[in-house]
Amino acid sequence: MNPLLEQFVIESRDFLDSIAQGLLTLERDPRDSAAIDELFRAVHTLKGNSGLFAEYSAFTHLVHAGEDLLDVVRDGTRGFDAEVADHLLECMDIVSLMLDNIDAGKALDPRLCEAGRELAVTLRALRAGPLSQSPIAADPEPALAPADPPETGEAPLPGATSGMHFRYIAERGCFFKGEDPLYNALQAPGLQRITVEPVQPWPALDLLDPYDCNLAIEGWCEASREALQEHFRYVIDQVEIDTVAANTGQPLATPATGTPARDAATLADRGLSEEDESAAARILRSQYEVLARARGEGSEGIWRSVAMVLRGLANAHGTGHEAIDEALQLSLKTASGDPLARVLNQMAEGTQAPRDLVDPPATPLRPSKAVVGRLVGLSEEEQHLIERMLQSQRRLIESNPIETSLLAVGRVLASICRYEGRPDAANAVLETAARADIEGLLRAIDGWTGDAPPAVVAASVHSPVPVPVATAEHPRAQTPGPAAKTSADDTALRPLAAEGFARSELLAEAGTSESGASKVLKVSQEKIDRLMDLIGEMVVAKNSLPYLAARAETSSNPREIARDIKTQYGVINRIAEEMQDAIMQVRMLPVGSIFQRFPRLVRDISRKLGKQVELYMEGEDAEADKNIVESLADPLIHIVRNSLDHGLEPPDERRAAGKREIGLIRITAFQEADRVIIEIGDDGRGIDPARIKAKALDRGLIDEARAATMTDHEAVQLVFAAGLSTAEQISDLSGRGVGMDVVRSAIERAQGQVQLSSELGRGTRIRIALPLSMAVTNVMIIRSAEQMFGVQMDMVVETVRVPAEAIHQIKQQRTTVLRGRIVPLYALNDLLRIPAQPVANEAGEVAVLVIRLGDQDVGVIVDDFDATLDLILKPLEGVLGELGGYAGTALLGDGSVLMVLNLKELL
Amino acid sequence: MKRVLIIDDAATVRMYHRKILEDCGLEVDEAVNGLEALEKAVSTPYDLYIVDINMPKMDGYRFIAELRSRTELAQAPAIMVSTESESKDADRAYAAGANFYLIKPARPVELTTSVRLMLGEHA
Repeated sequence: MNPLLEQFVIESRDFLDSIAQGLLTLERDPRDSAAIDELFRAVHTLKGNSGLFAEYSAFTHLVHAGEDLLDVVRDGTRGFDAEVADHLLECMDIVSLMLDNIDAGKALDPRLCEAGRELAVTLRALRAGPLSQSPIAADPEPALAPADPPETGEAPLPGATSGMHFRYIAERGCFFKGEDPLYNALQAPGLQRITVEPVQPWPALDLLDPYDCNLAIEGWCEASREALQEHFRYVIDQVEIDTVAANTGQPLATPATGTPARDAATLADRGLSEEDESAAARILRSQYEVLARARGEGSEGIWRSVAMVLRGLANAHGTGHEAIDEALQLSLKTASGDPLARVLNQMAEGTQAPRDLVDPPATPLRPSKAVVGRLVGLSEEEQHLIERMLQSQRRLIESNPIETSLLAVGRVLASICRYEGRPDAANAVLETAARADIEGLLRAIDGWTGDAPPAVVAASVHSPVPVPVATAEHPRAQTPGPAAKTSADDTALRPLAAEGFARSELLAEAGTSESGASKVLKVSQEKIDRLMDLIGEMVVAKNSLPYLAARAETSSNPREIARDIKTQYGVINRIAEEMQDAIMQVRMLPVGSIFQRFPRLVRDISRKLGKQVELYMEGEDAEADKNIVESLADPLIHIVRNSLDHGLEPPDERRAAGKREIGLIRITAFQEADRVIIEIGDDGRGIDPARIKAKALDRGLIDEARAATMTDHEAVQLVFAAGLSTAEQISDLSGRGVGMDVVRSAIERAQGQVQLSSELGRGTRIRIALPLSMAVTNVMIIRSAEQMFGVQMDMVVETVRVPAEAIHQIKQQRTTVLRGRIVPLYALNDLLRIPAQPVANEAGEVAVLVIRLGDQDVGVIVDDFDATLDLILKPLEGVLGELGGYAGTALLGDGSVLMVLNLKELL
Repeated sequence: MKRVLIIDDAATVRMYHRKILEDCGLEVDEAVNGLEALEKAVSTPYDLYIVDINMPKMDGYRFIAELRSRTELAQAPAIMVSTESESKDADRAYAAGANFYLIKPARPVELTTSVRLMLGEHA
């Protein structure tokens, strides 16, 4: 994936997280203006980012709809309620799925785009929802502009539409199917220009079959590809759609012939809406281009076509076209395009500054700047930008005429001069700026041409090329998105049932694929700095080794050398340990990163179940290794779902039980020694031991005798047994066939433990303990049958020496009594099928390693204990990987390999 | 080498602009909001500023106004970039002292040409 896209995905996921949080915060307190601002900014930036990728316009479009809704919430014209929250959350869900598409390097799923379009319609409709409760906004006329005008409003969606070109060659027999290709093409969304040509040269008249369609229709639209595809969906095989390249695009600006006139006029006759104003401005501009190239004799046809366009525009504006007709006549009579150009000037000025109409400039048509620019070798893009930039400087001077601004303007103007290869003019304009001569600067801007130093050009010359309205200049980003609108309207007309179905289905998919684990670590600068320091120390420390080696070669005192090496080992060892610690710190992630999902989860599920739930979380800052934290996510979600679904009672049941109607779920995380503990508790109905026992009996998980002797605590633990589902009816929430047994094994895979305690009628509490890191394992080395083995320390309860006489044989089982409890004993040699007897020490005692298996202590008889070490455990691979009984291997300092036992498996 | 400061709270946009500007041989630096930008500019002024509008702590309008209020920095041109095409935003940008207003996403050629124009360097 390209780095920009990658960055986009990462940043977008962050935004989605904070947006979801923001929405939930607002739901609790809809008047939290800081939260609204924050939320709005996140959505706004998300939209802005996605605008960089034209191919994801559906993404941008959807987020934009969300932004607009938030905008009215922000300025108080609409209250924030559950409906808004629901839809915005749904919006972000779809966006998140789209991100998954993008992340996977795929195009956006059309079904998602469809769902997004539908949702966007709903979001826009929601803007007119109920007013906020605040007294100000309750004003029936919410015309109160916010003190700080929002950046957005009804603005069209940038990036959603772009210049599209289609070529529609209708089937020859289409007339017989009742098709009207031209009409169809004319209805295309955002149509700006259309041409019709014969596919084959027209045959001689006597050979012409008028029922045979021989038309190739080409059109240029401001629309999204999707909208066009949608429009031509019935004839899509006959239509080619492509993007108009950004640089060479603007087909309107380069009308090589007069033919577009009729079509533009047709367009204009259809009536230009307010929003199409910029299109009108562009049409005017293109007429300028046409006229600039057709000033003299022989251009009559072009003048007529221009006049036709102008008439169309005048009609659309409801103004008469007598002046246009007169000008055309005059042009024809005098064989000069100037009269027409003057009218064009008037019309263009009209759209920009009505005051100019009072005194229409009698400027004869001069060669357009574009033409001049081309002479000095500037591209159209450059000329265009220069023009815009000049206008910008004028506006800056007019709106902010302070000295420093003028200096900045002077610099920009001088730069443009230099760019055009006129260093003298650059100096002149700099001087003008240094004098803070506003008039002089304005004159320079007004009189800007490619061939004269700006300061020399007379002030009276009025800029001949209309730069109509600022929004007319950048078709792709600025034209109002009629296409987007059209498609939105279209979808609104479609049957709603299908929509609802598709969307819920998509979201169900979303539920199953919780957004993938992030591959990116965010690390504070501090942690990296520490690592950097340590690397520095290491580099210095290692330099002493060659020096020591050299001394060892010549020295006659090996003991002294050995001492120095040990000292140096001490230094390097300390650095290595610190580096190890620093690296582990880098991988540490706050558990809060998975807690983030819970508010949303709890909100959605409790609403669905009609339960009222308060979620209380603390200790989000507790850290653990990234892998550990991530392995926690699924089990935790499952546990919380269980609590919501089975644990907490509906309000009436709670009332009847004398409890508060609002159920409580509490999630707490904290660090305890080298473990991170997470507790999830609820105050629900608890687990009924009797019911569990009955169910376990029923399923054959335990027998009658066992059931009779079981304590309640033991019975409750049965929820961890595979194949036991306690809910009477399997719901769609937690009853996915995944039980607590899966939760337990997931946690054990991460070397953690899970404990459960429950009190009938009072609630259930689950405690999960996990190591802080799996990167380094603390291993105890044991010896048996003259071999070394490793055992993970977290399983070891204690090591004891047991006299041979304290070992009792009960039936087949050796046991001993430790602290008043019977502990079953197993010889490691037996477990590993090594034909050797355990070796006792001189005192006749055997070494027993007491380990904890679930709730029970078990003794393993070995020959001897050795040191404990921190090792990096590597899993067995390949054929060896299938060997049970081993947790992995580790490399020892002397280069030998240590097999680390998985005693759980062995026993 | 001319130095440009990109001020935007969106990392994606910063990356996009950086790539484009570095490709035309400029030294590029970044700031995530107006405040950070101002601190950077005060310590070493830049030749050009590319400024987003909506940012936490200090927005783009405020940043440019601050820029213009400091004689030692004020001469450097500033380009405002925004997703909004509304002219009132452009009005505010110019009122704050911006030299140019580009719509996000600016096409690469549009951005580079604008920057070169402003820095007076012919392609």
